[in-house]
Amino acid sequence: MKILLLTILAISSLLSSDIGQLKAQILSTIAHALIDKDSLNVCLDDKDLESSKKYAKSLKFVSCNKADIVFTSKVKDINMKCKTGLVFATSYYLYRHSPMVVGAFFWQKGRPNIIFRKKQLEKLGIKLPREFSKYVE
Amino acid sequence: MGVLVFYTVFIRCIFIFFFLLQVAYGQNIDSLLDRLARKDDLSVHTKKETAGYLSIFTRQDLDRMKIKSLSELMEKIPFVRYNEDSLGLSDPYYQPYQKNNPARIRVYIDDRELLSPLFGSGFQLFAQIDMAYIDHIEVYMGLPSYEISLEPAVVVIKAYTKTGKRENTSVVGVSGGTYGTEDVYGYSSKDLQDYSYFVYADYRNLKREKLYNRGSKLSRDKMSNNFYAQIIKPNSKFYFQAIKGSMDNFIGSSWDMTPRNLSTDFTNLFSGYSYNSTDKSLQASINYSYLASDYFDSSYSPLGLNPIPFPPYYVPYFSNSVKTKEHLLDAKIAKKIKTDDFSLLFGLRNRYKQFDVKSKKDSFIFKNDTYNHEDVASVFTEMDYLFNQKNRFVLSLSAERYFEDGRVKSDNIYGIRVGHIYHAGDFTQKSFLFYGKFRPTPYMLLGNDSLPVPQDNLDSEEAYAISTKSIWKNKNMTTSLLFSNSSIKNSIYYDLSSFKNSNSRFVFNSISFRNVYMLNDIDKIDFNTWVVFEDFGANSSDRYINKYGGYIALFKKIGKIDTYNNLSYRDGYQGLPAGWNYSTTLTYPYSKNLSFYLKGENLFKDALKTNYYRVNLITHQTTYLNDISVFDRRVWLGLEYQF
Repeated sequence: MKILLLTILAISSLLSSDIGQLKAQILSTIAHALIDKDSLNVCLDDKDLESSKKYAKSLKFVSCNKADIVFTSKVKDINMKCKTGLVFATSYYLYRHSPMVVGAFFWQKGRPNIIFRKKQLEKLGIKLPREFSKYVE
Repeated sequence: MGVLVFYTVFIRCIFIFFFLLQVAYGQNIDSLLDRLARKDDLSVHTKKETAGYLSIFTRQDLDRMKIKSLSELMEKIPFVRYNEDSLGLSDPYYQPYQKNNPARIRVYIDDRELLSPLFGSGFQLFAQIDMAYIDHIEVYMGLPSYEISLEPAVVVIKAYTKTGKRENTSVVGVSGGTYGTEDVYGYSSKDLQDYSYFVYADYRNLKREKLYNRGSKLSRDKMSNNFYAQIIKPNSKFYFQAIKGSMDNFIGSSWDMTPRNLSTDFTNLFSGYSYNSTDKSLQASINYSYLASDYFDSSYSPLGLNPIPFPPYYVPYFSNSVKTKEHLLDAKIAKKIKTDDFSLLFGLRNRYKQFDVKSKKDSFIFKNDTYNHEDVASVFTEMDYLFNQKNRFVLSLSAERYFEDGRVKSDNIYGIRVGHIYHAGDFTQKSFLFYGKFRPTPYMLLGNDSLPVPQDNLDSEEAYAISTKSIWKNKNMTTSLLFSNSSIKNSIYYDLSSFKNSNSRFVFNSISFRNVYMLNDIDKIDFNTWVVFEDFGANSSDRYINKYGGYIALFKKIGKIDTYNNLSYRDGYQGLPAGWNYSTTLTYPYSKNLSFYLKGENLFKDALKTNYYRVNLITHQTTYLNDISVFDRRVWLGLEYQF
């Protein structure tokens, strides 16, 4: 199922060219790589990624406490209310300062980058598809 | 049964189609990130399409080229060639004995203009120094919007610095090159939620090919230390930059091209603060620049003549020491009112320039006690009206009042720019009409002021331009064709004693064609060719000159190695054969953190050259230095390590 979803996402992204669409594709790809479910409840708390909400058709955007996965750049989200789902940072700062964050999507050296935290993946028993292995550290 | 077979075949075809597409596009998370890097490049957020004719060198482009200085890019800008003057300073429009005219090219770093209060444009300050702190470069051709540059210029180069938010790392780079050139830089940057910072330092010892004339060494070496720091908050930015260095000044002013001791030490400091409201409707900035230089020239032949009160009334001098100190305080505020189909920008700007020049020509001392400042108050407005979904109209107006003691005909400068942009589907047509004036620099006015014989007041150069550009853009290809007709009246020239206005009207008709074809998300072929038909008026001995140029560049990743190849061409420059400049860069990522690169510039040693000459006013002999390459043939070997 995970492979099928990733393939569909990859195919649909051929047609996407807008920045919002691309960000939505990346968020969807990350979310489906981490969680093997058809329909995902996602909390997105980052104004730079707000434009991607309308394009992420395979994701259902919900409040933080109902989410399977939380994409956030804010420390307070982790400390306060987002303790149920996986947390994926959208800033490098948050990734560095919150060990429970499973990974991060952020800009580094002038280009977008993804990191997955190996220790957290193992702790949560998540096995990523092979194409993500080079992003695990 | 038939329906089932058809269905099975159809499904297989769909699968094969998407499989092939996947192969063709390498579609995966890497590909998505590559595509986002291109689509969401910082230039997407900074460029202003309605401001003029725009060429962008993105972060990816500059990274893959391993760009070392702005001079490399000049051969990729239409209608321009890279050139250097007799002091070894960058001046694309250099002519022997003529002074650098700042109205041709202006340089901005982020939104602050690099401006020398005395000499005008800061192009010479920036063209040959390091630029590893620059994220991307936008080049606006043909007298762009006042929102981009208040003072008109044929070419406006906007270099944008890297930001903490997009860097989030620390990097060290080391490289060495031909003739013993060394370059070391490092930067550290972080996004800390409430603010981001970027700190950068570079040391460069740029060694150039040495030339000799009658035993004198003609050197163009440059050494610089560059420090840059910025802090960015959501609505504001603070920066500080310090550049300190020294350079050898090539021929200098020596009449027989026989310099003995010739160099300049310089210190440049820049600092500023800018504010941008969240909705971008209010912008305000204040910038301060301090530029100090200490130029020393001694020669075996005369450098010039000092006046004396008895026959022969002039005596040659053999040494010249010039110390300059320049201060610039530049404040700007602009307010934008925006509705769905209309926007109005209104702004005020004030530039206070102070300059002190002290020269000692043998024992003759000169100081600019009476003329040492210039204050420029400006008001500008820009209206942008979206008539319908296909047609947009732009009107820009500016007025400037100069307060100073220089001898000029008018202290008021006006400019107007009218534009129309048509956009339908894959096609865009941009057309602009411009009228404006280029003010003489304080250096020119000071030159005339310091003469014992009073000169006519200098007039501003007067320019108009009408131009149109057609752009066809689809998924993989962008093609454009530009036509331009421009004219300059009252052009300022130096007649070996003073600055004067020319009586001739200069007319330039230009055509440029460009095609960019994306081979995939990151690889591309970029092709440009152009021609300028120049008419210097009936009084000129060489009235008609046609100049040609262009380039073809290939950005291609082969396996793990990133390659960049570029061949630039220039022809039609008086007394010079055509120039071909071939450059290449190979980058090998050894690991995620470490990469090595090999870069070659002017590898055929056939780039367009320059002829220099000097006249000895006593012996009436002319010394020539012909076929001098302003681009050295240079190979760089470097590495970059990311922490």
